[in-house]
Order: sequence, then structure tokens, then C-alpha cells
Amino acid sequence: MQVGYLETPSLWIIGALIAYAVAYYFYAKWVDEHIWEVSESRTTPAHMYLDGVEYFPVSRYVLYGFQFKSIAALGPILGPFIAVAYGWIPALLWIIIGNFFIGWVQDYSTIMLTARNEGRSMGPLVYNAIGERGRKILLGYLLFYLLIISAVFIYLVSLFWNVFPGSFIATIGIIITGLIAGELLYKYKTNIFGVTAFAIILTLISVGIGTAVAWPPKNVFGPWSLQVWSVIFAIILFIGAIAPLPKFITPMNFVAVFPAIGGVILIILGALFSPLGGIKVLQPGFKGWYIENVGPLFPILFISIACGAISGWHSLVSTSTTGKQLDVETDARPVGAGAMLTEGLLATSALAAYMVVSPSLIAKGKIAAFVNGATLLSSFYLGGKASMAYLSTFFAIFLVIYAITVQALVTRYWRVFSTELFKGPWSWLGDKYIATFVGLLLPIIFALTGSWINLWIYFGGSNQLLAGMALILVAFYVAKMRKPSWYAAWPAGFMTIVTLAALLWETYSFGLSTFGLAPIKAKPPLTQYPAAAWSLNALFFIIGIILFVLGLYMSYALWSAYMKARKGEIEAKEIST
Amino acid sequence: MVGLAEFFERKPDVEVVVFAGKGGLGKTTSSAALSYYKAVNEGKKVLCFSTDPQASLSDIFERDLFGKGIIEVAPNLHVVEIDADKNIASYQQEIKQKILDMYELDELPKEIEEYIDSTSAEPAMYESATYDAMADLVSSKEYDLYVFDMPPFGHGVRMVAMAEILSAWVDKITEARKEAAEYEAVASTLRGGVETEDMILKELGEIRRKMDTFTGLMTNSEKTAFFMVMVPEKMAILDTERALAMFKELNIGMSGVVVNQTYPRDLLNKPDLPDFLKKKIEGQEDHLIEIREKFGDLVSALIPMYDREPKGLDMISHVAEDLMHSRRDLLWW
Amino acid sequence: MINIPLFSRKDKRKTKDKGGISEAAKGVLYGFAVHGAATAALKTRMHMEHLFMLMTLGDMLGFPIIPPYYSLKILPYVVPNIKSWKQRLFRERDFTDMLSG
Repeated sequence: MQVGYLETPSLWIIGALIAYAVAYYFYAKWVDEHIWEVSESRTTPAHMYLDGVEYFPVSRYVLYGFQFKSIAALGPILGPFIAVAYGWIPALLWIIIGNFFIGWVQDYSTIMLTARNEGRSMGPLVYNAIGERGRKILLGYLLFYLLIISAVFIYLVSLFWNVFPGSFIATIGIIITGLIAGELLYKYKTNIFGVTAFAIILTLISVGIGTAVAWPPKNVFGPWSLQVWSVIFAIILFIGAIAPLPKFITPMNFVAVFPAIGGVILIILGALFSPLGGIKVLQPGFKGWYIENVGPLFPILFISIACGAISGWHSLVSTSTTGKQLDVETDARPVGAGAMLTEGLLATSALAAYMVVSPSLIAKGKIAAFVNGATLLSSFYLGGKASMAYLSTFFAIFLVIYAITVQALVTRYWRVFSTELFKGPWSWLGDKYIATFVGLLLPIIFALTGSWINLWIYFGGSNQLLAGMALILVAFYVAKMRKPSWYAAWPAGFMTIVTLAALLWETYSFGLSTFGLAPIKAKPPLTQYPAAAWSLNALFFIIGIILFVLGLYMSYALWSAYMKARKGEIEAKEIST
Repeated sequence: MVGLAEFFERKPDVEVVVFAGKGGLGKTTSSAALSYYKAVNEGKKVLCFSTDPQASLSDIFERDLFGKGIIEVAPNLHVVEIDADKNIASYQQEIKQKILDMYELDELPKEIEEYIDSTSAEPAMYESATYDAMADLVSSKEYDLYVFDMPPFGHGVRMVAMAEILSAWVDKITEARKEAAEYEAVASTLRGGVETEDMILKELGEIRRKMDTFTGLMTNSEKTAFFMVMVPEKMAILDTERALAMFKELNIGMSGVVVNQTYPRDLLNKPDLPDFLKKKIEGQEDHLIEIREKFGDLVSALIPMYDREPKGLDMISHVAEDLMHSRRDLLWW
Repeated sequence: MINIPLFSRKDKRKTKDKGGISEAAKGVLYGFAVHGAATAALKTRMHMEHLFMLMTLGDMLGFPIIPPYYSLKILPYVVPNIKSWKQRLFRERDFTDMLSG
């Protein structure tokens, strides 16, 4: 069954691929050579401070793999789901444009920032630009940011477990596989290749068992199913946060890597070869400028795709680890830009999965859309109808895995940040157990609203605002280097405005509900408890204000520092000419 | 019957004898005498060990022993008089050489050289070096009997306290090291590398083993005997009391007290006794009575005041006889 | 012990690409699957090492420790770590540095 290329997602993916190639081979290369003037002979922090722990040179292949793994999460996979609500054309355009002009710029430039600033990470970089207060506010901002991420991911995992029967059992299978793999690796010192093979086989079996058992059914815990699942997930996370890293989180992440990368490859292949499977685009190209329950296209579209186009999270990865392990400056482009553009490809392929499912699924906000689309895209070359049930469970697990691995890290970060932030009489909040507990309890409360799209907008807003801050920071340092800073400043300006607008919009709409000017945002069973529903709306209204104010302060302070530095840049230019 | 012979009859398994007490009261003499007796009279292989920087063993045996290593001064009688300063210096040199060899360096990094040199100024260094030398000798188990002439600082009791502090320290760093090694193993398994043996843990293990053997022996009252050496004088009595209390605190049983420089009572009957000597001997009576009251059965041996200095093998054999089988006429009670 | 080539590798040789697609693929897969975990393990180890070094060579930095005699016995094995240990101890540490742990 052959269909025309234009009717399938294939050509669009190829088009995006070409755009990313141009970004990598021309734009990024130009920035690399003319703005940063990278040199193989300039000593990087990895060599300067070589300690074999934080600072050591790592081959660009390894670093690329590491960077990609660290930045790829649910953003590029679920983000397009919200974006596609406006039709697939705006979504595709934003993914391509975002990646081309903003995404890689941030990831690559923040690696270079760290490489050129003695391996400093975000905190000290901000401190050098705007001082201690800025650093403290960044810390506070990040704490809220982590809470929001936690709320989104805890909610989503509960949703996946609830919606896809058998996915919980398969998840437990993978966790057990992780525990065994950990013992094999660390206790019995089994060869890593053997453990890898073992992990892959056991993971596939787990998915098989999940598919066969297909239990528990949807809403097994009645109307409160989601909430019960989220508590179950929180318990698993709590154990993960308390147990020593090599016992739980490390091996689980290790095992999770294989289905995670396998799923990505399956989707990309499926999207590229969709004409062979006769898979047609069913979504409309454009649906409108304002979509009920989501919001106006500007600014929501630009924050919805999160990590698939641009993400502040990446700047944290780039500055805290990657920049410290960069072997030579010339590796920054393949690692930073390369990994981001690969992620762009992943987002584009995920978008393809939404393009091919029925429009009603998207309109109803059904999370199953991704699983259905991905199954459709991959089953035609993996055994057709017979494999569909198995692939469905696999892609459900794929979503769960991305959420769990990132969430396990986020829970840890929350604890680390709490210890840093809460001093003196508040130091008990930094206690290992208490901080972890609080870091899980608050998100569960947040997730009670039952609307992951609202949470997602806060997440995307704060995440991309962080990207905006990182980009201003880049522009600041580039201006201080007396190089053209526009390549970072324009995206920085755009991202700052768009994200602040999105945060403001979401705060505004929660404000309307809080003050009785609009219906309360809540889903059953919370709707039966109006007081609780109202409190949550009010809470989100307040969180929105906090995120907005902290973000505004940071952006303003950073931007003023940048303007000051730019004056130097312009003066220098005048002197030289 | 008074005399150490009686003590050894009761405790035939004793392998280590420690003489403690203030300097100049006869510790070294007692050590030499006991060693001589056990080696020459009983044919046991004996090592007599002293760290006295005043080289008193050299004095007694009338040979230069200081810092010369183990020397057999009479059949079966081995003597070693440690020069702690020299030992520390050569130990430091050994460490420096090891670093140079391990990393194939031509010269040491300056800060490391400075650090190594600075350690000789540490007060604990001297004691640790002595302690280590003792522990080394004892754990070698080459001799039937070890006789230690304790250095004068802190009654030698500190040695035992020191062992405890050292053990705790070694335990703590071993634990930190082990945990580090665990994560190291995790990292190296992940990297597909081969684990190398942790030399530090090995070294720490050796230190710990040596300490355990040593402290195990020192705290075993069947194998180790502690004797306080004193003289019948007020100050010495007070000092010995204090030492007893310290030993008690460390849970170490004091095996006995050796009273040195005692005048025989019969001396008083000598008609031509000079007046001042007579007064001195009479003065001892009160102190000896006090010693009996305070230490009672702990008084294991009494050594008389001799008409010449206890030096040379002949004289030592004479003292040994008195130490093992004390003269009855020294017992004033 | 981790091999820190402080002495054996004075030249700042860059990690060489061994060439070949399979090497590259292996590297990417390693980076994807293991590198983060290995770095995290190394970091935890680093904290232990701090403690260990402080207890062993604390007096180098002015923290009194009890027996320098046995410290010296261990010193040769930790010589390569001293420089990086001091560096790490005195380096500004920030919450954003802890992210990869």
C-alpha cells in the first residue's frame, strides 16, 4: 500500500533533518569559528584542573552520548502533543526554527561558557555577572522549577500506569532488572557487555509479561486511581532517593537506557519510512490561534515543546558536567550543538507520531495519542498487527522510563538544593529524609488538580525562562569578550518575553479561577471538593506569581549586566575602527 | 618469698615484660638484670629494648649500643637501644625514596618534601616511631622474652593509651578508604576496567594487624607483665600511686612494683656506720612501711643499694640475682 | 586507586579519536548508558576521599591529626591525589556543581 510522500510525515522529517544539518554545518560552524574562535590548542578546564573526578577529558563521542542522554526526556516526546493542538504546521515550524536559532545556541554556548570560565557552573557564572543576590534568587527559582517538574512527571507516570494496563508490571520488571543488574555489576563484577545483554533481554521479557497480563485495568483504584498511583510512584522514588546511588538509581538508569534509545530509533525510522507503511497524516495543518484549555498560540506554543526546541535544563547539564569534561574546544560543537539537534530530530519524530493519529484523540487531550502514533509508525515494519499490543506496552514503558529516570534525578537535586538553601533554624528542612519527603509530597499535592497541561505550561514556562536567562548570560560573556553577541541576545530576548508572557498568562488564568471570574480548574474526583479545588487554584496562582517575579528579577538583572557589558563591546568597536 | 622468680613461677607464659617509672630510678638496671637472668641463667632467647636517648643500656653493658641495631651482648642476650631521631630520619628518607621510585621522579615536589620534613617536629612523631619499633619487634615473635625499658615520658603508660588512639584512627581512615574503594569499584566496573588492589587498604591492614597483635599482647595479663620501678622516697611513692591509677583507667593490671636502692636493715647494726648514712637508712623505714601499706602484695622485688654503680656483665648478674630472689634482709617488715 | 596521570602524563595530550565508526558508536553508547553513572560514582568516591585525605594528611592544610608517623606510610600512594584534593577543597563549590552527582 503506497501513499504519496506529501501525505506522510516522511518528507517533513527529511526537511527538518536538512534544516538541522544546515544549522550544524553552517550556522553553528560560523559561530564556532567567528564568535568563540575555538582553538584546539587552548587548554580546557578538563586538562587545567584534571582531577579524574569532575574534571577530566572525555572523548567527544562519549560526551555526545552523555549530553544527549542527559537532555533527552519527556519534553521532546510529550511537548509536541500540546503544540499539535494548534495544528501540526505551527508545531513543526517552531521545532525547526527553535532548534535552528535558539536550541543549539544555548546548549553549545553554555558548554563554551564553562570551558572559558575555569569550569564554572551556572551558579558561579551568574554570581560573576550579577552577584550573590542573583545566585540566591537563581537557587530559589530552581527550587520551584524542580517542584513543578516533579509535579508534572509524577502526574504523568501515574497517568501512564493508569491508562496503559500492564505498564506498571512492566515497569516493576525493569526496576527489578535494574536491581539485579546492579548486583551483577557491582557485587559480582560481571562484565558490562554481559550485563547489557542480560538487561536488554529481561527488559523485553518484562514488556512481554506486561502485555500478556495487561493488568491492572484502567481506574483499578476507583475515582482516586491517579492519586493512588502517584503515591505508589512517590514511594518508589523515596526508596530510590534514600538508597545508595549504585544500589538503585544508577543500575535502573543503566537498564532504562536501552529501551529509551531503542524507542527513539524506532520512531525516527518509522517516521522516515512512513510512506512504505502507507501511514498518512491525519491531523489538520492549522487549527487556530486560540485553543480552549490550552491557551493562545502566542506564547503557549513556544513553551510547550520544551526540550524539543530549547530547554533551560540543558544549560544546567552543559555547565555542571559537560563543560568540565570537554577535551578540546572544537568538541563543543559536535557535543553541544550535535546533541541538541539530535534532540530536535527526536521532537520532530515524536511530532510525526501525533500527526498520524486521529484528530479526536488530540482534541480530547488523550495521552494515549503518542503511544498509538508511535505504535502505528513502528508496527508496519515490525510485524504488523501482531506486534501492536507488544509495541503499545513498549511505548507506554518508554514514556514511563523517561519520566522515572529524570524524576529520580530531580528528587535528588531537590534534596541537594534544600540542604544548600535551608540553613540555621530551617536546617531540618535540608535533612535527607525530610527534604526528600517534602520534595515528593508537594508535587503530589500539585498533581491533584488532575490537569497535566496546566502543570506542563508552568514547567515549560519556567524551563524555557531558565533557557532565556542562560542565553542572556551567554550574551553577557560574549559581549565581555568583545565579540558579536546578537546571536545569543536575540534568542535570549525572544525567549524571555515569550516565557514571561506564558507564565503571566497561566498565572492570569489561575487568578481568574481563584477570584471566581472563571470556573475552577479541576478534574474529577477533585471537583467534588470545591474548597480543595479552589485552594489548589489559589496555590497555583501564587506559584505563578513567584515564578514570574523571580524570573523577571533574574532576567532584568542579567539583561542590565548584559547592556553594561555591551556598552564596552560597542566602545571597543569604536576604538578599534 | 620476694623476688621476680616467684612471679614467673606463677606466670610461666609471660613473653613481654615492661618496666615503667620515672627516669633514673633503676628502670634500665632492672630491664638489663631481668634480661640477663632469663638469657644466661635460664637459656631463653631474650631481647632487651630501650629507647632512652641517654643511652643508659650502653652505659650498663659498657658497650656502645645506641642506634646500632640488635646486638648480642651475652649468649642469648640481645640488646637494642633505639636512636629514635635517627630512626625517624631514615624512615622519612625511605618514604621519600618510595615516592621517587613509585612515580619515577628525579626530585620530590617541593610541598611534599616540606611536608615530610615537617613531621619530625611533631611531638607525637617520636612516640609513634618508638611505638612502631616496639610493635615491629614483638609481632616478629623471634624472641622468647621481650623486656622493654620504657621511655621516661608519661610513665610509659602513654604507650598503651597511644595504641588505642592509633587503632581508632586507623579504623576511621580504613572505613573512609573502604567506602571510597567501593565507589571506585563501581566506577571501574562501569568503565569496563579491571580493579586494581588498593595499596592503601593493604598498608592500613598491615598497620592494623601489627597494632592488634601488639595491643592484644600488651593487654593479656598472662603474656605481659608491667612493673613499676621506684625507690623508697616520698616523691617516688606519690608517682607510683598516680601511675597505678592511670593503669587502672586503661584497664591494665599492674603486675608489681620493684623497689630499688633499698638499704639492708642489718646495715644499722654495723658499729662503724657513718652518722649521715645511719640517718638516711632510718629515714627509709617510714617510706618502706608506707610502701607496704600502699602497695602490699604488689611489691615483687627489692634491689639493694650497691657499693658501686651497677655496670658490666658481672655486676648485672649480681643485680639479676637480687631482682629474682630478693634478699630477706631488705624486707623491713 | 584511580590512575590520575599527574606525573606520567605531563604533556596535555588530547584524547585521540581511534577512528572507525565502531569506536565512535561504542563511545556514544558508553556516554549514553554509563558515563553519567560512572561520573556520579566517582563523585561520591571523591567525598569519601576528602574525608580520607583530611584524616591522613590534614596537617598539610593546618588541620591537626594525630599520628603523622602512619600518615607518612600512606603518603606515597596518595601523592598524585594531593594536588587535586587541595584544588577541590579550596575550589568554590556551588549548588549547580552538584547537579551531575
